[in-house]
Amino acid sequence: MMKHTTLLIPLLPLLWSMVHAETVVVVAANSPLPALTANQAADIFLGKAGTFPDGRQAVPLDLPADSAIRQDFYLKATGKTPQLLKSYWTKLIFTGQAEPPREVSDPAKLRKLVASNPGFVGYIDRGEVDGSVKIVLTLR
Amino acid sequence: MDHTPLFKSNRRRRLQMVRVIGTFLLVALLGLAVIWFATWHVVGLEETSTREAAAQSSRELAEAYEAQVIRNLGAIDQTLRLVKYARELRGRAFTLSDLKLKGLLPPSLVFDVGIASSDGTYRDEDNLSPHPSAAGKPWLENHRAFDAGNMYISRVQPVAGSDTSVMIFSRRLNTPSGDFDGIVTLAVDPSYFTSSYDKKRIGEQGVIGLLGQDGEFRVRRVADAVAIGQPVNYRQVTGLQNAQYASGALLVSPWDGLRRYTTALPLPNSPLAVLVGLSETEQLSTVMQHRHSYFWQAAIASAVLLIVLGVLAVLSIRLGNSEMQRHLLQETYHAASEASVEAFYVLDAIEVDGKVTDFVMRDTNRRGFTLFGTQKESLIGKRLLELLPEAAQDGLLYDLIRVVETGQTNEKEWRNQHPAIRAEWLYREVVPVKGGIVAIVRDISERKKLEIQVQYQATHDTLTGLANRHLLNDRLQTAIAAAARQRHAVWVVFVDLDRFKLINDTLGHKAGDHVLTVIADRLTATVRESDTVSRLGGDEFMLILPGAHERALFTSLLQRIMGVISQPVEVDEKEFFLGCSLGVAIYPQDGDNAAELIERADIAMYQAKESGRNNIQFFTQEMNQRLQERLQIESALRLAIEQREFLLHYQPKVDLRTGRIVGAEALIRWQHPEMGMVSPAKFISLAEESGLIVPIGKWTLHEACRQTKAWIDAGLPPLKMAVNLSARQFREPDLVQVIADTLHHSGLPAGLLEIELTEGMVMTDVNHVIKVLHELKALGLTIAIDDFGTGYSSLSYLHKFPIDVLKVDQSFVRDIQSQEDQSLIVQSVISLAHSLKLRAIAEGVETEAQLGYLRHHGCDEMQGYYFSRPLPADAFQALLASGKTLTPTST
Repeated sequence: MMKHTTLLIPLLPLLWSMVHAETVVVVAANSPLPALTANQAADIFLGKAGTFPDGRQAVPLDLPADSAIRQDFYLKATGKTPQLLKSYWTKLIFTGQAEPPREVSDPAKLRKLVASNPGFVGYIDRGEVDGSVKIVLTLR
Repeated sequence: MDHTPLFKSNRRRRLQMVRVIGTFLLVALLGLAVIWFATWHVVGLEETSTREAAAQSSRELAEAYEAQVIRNLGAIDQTLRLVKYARELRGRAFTLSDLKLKGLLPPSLVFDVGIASSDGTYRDEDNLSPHPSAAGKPWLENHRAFDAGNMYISRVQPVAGSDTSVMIFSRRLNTPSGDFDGIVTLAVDPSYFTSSYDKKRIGEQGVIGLLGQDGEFRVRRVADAVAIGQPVNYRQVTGLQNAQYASGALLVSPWDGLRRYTTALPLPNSPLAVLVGLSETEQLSTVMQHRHSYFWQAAIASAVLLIVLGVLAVLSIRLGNSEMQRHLLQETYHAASEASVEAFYVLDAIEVDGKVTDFVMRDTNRRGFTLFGTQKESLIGKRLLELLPEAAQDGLLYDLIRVVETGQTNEKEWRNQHPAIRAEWLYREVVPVKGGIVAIVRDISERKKLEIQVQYQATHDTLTGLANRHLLNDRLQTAIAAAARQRHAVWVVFVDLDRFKLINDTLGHKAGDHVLTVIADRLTATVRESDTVSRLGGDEFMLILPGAHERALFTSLLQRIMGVISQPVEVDEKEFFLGCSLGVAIYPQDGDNAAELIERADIAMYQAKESGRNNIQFFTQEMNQRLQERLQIESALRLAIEQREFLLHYQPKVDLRTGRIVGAEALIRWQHPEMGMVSPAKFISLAEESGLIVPIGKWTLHEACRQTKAWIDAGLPPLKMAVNLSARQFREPDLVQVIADTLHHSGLPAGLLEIELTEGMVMTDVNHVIKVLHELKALGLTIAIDDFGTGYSSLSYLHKFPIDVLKVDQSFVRDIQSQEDQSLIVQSVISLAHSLKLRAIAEGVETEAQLGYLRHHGCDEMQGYYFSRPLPADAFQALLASGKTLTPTST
């Protein structure tokens, strides 16, 4: 019980988001990519894959670290908590094997960036989605 | 091969067992030693190499880690330089987010970049949590003090409000004029530097970390345990001075006491040193495992070795035993074969196209090679036909091959012709064995020679070398069988030497033997190749002459034989002449078997003798009949005495002057129930030959004396009883004693007994005769010489004999009337007798004329039919009683 409570606290914002919002993965509206599976998205965002399934270069974009959407996305797509993510990336950064996705300061900027090039891929709240981007994955 | 005696075998067996066990123990120990030494060695080697590898690994990992750290430090420094450049270029207007937007800042996830002004307060930060003031901190103050152009690396700083900590890297910011304008900092969790910890490479107990040369162990990670900011100095960890490299050295890590292969690489121009340590235990764990498994393997191997050796030992002992037994067997075999008086050979058969053609000598014993007069080596491996080339022709090879083919043992005695074998007569037994034969050969030369000798002696006469009776029989049977098949005759000739006894008796046995050998040689030389000469014994020979029916041819041969025998024989430089009597029986007419023919030849020979000797007689049925008769008489004669078939007839002797009966001659008569009265002519000679004359003579003497005594007792006038004595009786050693006993027994006075001896009898062996006559005379008897004039008397001897009477033989008396000269003999005999002071008595007086003549010439007595024939006892008695006398005649 104690455990669960402890776990819940950091997830509160997330839960809030969940109640109120839905995390979606978006690419440029003109991107040929029809869809993305959670695993595919995970691979891209974890630096394991540098391309979309169709072979085009994929550049993931992150929201700031404290973002609830970000946490939600990673949890749902990769199953990793921020701690795990940090330690995951730490090693990769240290060994020079990979870099984490570029951070964008807010969702709007992210959306704008994603829309600018079919190579970008990012995640936002569904509410933030507009015609410039299309949803390729909905995270549940 | 060593020849220890058999009784030592038990001790040897035990010794053997001890030896085997000892050997195997030794081998086992050696094996175990080898196994364990090898294992230990391998383990040792593995440990050493593992250790070396661990040390090496430590070095390599340290170098790789160092590279990573240097790169990261470099990247950090690069970020600082970038920010410094951008800040110094754009001045206060510069914000980090500019860089951030361009993606020029390192991931804020890990790196916290900030700019602090010269008073230490942070004006610009990458992340949200506010940085504490850098005032008074070395990362600020150092730069303030000195624009060295280097990156400052701080010690570990705890983060307020959390249990994390950071290391702060800083560079100095300058105003355009080069004044201190604050610092740019990058804070990172020290554990960042150990995030590359790879358990697969370093293990669960390995350590990587950033060791400070300034007394602070910035970060240290062992497996998942990160220790940050430990106050440890370089020396403690490495055992070395600062800036000195520890290169894979096995050191005890002071924080947990584990022994690690430690490499410490101080980074140039920095207070840091990279540390990598590999746990000894871990690195050697495989070795340990291996060691464990090696020792298990060694243990198993040892166990297996011991088991195998144990089994081998047992088998070896068993083998040794059987080996020993085999050895024993071989020794026994060898001893037996060497000691054997028999030669033996082991031969392997050589086959060509499935047929045995020859043999190869595989083994032989002492006797075996001695028999060949060579050494064992010269025989082994040689083929039979090499050693005995003749074997192919003389049937030996054939016999041996037969043994192999039929699987039957073959035995044979044979006379050796092979020059290679040193023996004359051999016996062989050949036994089939697998792959060949075993031949056992015995030198039987001695035995055979003996056999032959015995055989020879059994079939040959020792003296003459002629065939003896047995061989004769054999030869005769063979000859008869051949004659039957080929339809021809066989002559069986009995050869009896005349006068041989004379030579033998007078000259002795040696001379006699010499004569026999001479005669034997002559006979052999005279007959043909196909004839047989044999000696039956004594002076009797038998010839077998097989051949055709040519009687004339054979007869001339026989005559030649007679001629050859009658050639003079030289004995002691004197020449003697023999004659022979030959009797011939012929197959098939005179008999159809050997026995019959021999018997009939004998009969014929006897007839030849009877016919005056020195002639040839052929068997006839008459002879046979006569023989049968003879035999009959002889057998009857034997019983005659018992059966009381004898009786005496008495012929009176009359004194010619007085005309009175003065004596009688006892004449034996034989009354046989079936044959009737058998004349003495028939049986006397038989009796003489058979020796029956002795008991008959004794009986005659006895009866005559008894009768005479009886007549005297009956009152009749006494008369002299004359009894004939045969030559045979005369030769009896107890003659005198017998006569004395008879006289005594009968009670007859000796003076009334007269003994009549023939002239022929007394003229041989004169000295003996004289002696006996004297003895007889000593008894008081009268002795008469019978048949006087017919023998070969020597007057000088006559003179010596103590005789009383001469009896003129009846043949002279008979001829008185007819022949003048014969009567003259009578006359002279009478006067001879008288001149010797002997009485003369004439026998066989039958006529008056004879009587007158005798009377006229002064003969003293007469005996003959004129007066009386011989009369039986009662008739004689009657005559006596009648007192009949001879009528006197005018002179």
